[in-house]
Amino acid sequence: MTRLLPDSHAARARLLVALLALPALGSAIFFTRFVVNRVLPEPPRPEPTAAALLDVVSGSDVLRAWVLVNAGVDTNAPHPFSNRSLTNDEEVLLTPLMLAAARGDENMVRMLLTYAPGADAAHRRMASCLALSRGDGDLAALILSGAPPDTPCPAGLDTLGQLRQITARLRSGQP
Amino acid sequence: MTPAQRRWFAGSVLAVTPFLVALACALWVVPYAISETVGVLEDLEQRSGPARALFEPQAPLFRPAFWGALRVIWDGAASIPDALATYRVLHIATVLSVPLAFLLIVRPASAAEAAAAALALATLVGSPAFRDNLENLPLNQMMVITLIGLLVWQLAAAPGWWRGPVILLLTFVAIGFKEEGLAVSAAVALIAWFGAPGISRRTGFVVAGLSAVYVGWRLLGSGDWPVFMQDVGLGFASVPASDAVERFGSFPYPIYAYNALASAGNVLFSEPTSGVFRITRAVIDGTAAPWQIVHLASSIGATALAAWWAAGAARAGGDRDRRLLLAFLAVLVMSAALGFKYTRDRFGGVAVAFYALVVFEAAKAALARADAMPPRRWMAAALLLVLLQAGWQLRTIGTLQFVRDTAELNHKEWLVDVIERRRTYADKPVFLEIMDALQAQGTDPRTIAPGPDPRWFARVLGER
Repeated sequence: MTRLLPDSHAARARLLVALLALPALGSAIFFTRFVVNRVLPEPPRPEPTAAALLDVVSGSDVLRAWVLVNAGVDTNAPHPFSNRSLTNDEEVLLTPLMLAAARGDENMVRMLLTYAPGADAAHRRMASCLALSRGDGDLAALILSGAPPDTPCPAGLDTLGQLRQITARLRSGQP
Repeated sequence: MTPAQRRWFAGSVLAVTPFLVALACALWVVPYAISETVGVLEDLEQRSGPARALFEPQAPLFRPAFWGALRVIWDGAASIPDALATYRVLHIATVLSVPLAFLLIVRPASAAEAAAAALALATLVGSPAFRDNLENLPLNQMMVITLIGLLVWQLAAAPGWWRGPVILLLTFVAIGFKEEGLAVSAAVALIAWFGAPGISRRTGFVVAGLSAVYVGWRLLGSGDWPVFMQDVGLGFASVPASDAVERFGSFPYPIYAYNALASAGNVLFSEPTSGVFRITRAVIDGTAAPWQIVHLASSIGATALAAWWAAGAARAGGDRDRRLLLAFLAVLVMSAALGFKYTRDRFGGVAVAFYALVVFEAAKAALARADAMPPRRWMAAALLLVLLQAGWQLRTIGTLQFVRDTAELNHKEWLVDVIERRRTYADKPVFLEIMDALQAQGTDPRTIAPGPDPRWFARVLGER
């Protein structure tokens, strides 16, 4: 191995300096790439849709959910949704706020109440009932902003049971 | 400087430019934190005037230069967004000035010096203290003090009748920004005593005397300060301030000593963080992330290199080397001592700047020593130095990642905390007005623009 080294001390000194410069060069390339990425226009994002919003809400990704809310996705229209953990792969109709409440995702609920505050009273009440079905009274109160629900939540139903009932009501056009 | 030396210096500045530009880009989009900045600005708005801000020595946060600087900008701006933009520009300018000032001091004039400067600069900008001080409050006091520390060191390096008064003034501006400015005054007093060309012993005495008066004045009002102001890290866990008072309040001095040692340890070994040995714990548990190994190993390597050089400098070094060593020890000890109530990474800001100066000298000496080594030893030394350089360069990239993580964290805070704060501070119209004015910057979509690297990279670079 040592035979590969240059004989003269000066040449070895140059080699060592060059070796030390390599990592610094690597980081300089990284930083340049970072700056270029900042300056270049962003690649077009996928079309913001209600389905995409429900997807990121179910993944608790507050930042991405906000991007979609900010892009103008309608947060008040109920949309079909299903997954294994919450709906047992059964399709239900719900809004992002209802989904966040059904999952007990307080951060998501806070974001939606702040940046998508247009949910009508009926949808908020449904979301509040979903939070209550999980035993989360504080979250339910937050959704209703401290006011008691004007009608009682359905008794004896778990979260999925409530989701089924909400879906049936929405499909039949009831408020 | 010869043309060749100038070229190496220019090359070094050019090499660090991508980092500086990237850091500036990243800092530009970091939202002000709802948890810190709104409160600071509310405090600023509610102070009745500059005079009151300047003369409240009994307050735990007596920082007249800091409040004065904020106040001048606040009063001079046409709107809150204008004031925030000015704070942001000032913060970024201060942050970028620190590495540039470092390069101006070391002035690499050969290939070997440029390589040593690259390593030393990485130990500065890759350190936990530097990262922690990237936080914009809206101005970061420790970053200002770090810059003043470097300027003072440079001013003291050459003779000139005007340098002493300027050093004196800068030192007290540093103290006026934050108590950690006393670390600068300790260094000034010591290097003046040991013959720094730019500052007389008499000026050194004046700095030491006025600093002692300031400390005494502050301590007169310390009776009302809580025994522990914030959570205290101890071993592998953090103790809430209230618990700490209960457990150690009757005799807090061992915890104060622990906090001081923890601050020094963070500068030298990147461990503990806020008094908690989290990397050590992760290593013991077998759950250490790659970045934790990189941090610990690269810090141990750089500190070992610095210690090797320091031993030589203490024994047979020139006057300047000895003064540098003394200045580093002075700021390290003083920074550590000032963190006696609780320790945070940011307290080591000035110390890491002097640590980096020591590492520069050490790396230069190591390269010179390696030249004369027989091939096998040369290979071993070269391998160690390259690994050290690679580790610290990774940490430099990690600093950028840290800023991006901070941006996301602050952005998320603005998304989920506004509703609660509106309720909590409903009876505080000034707070609400400032929060409303800051909300647009807090939710600016540019904050979470996708970066060039995959998220797994965070495990290698470091996570908040």
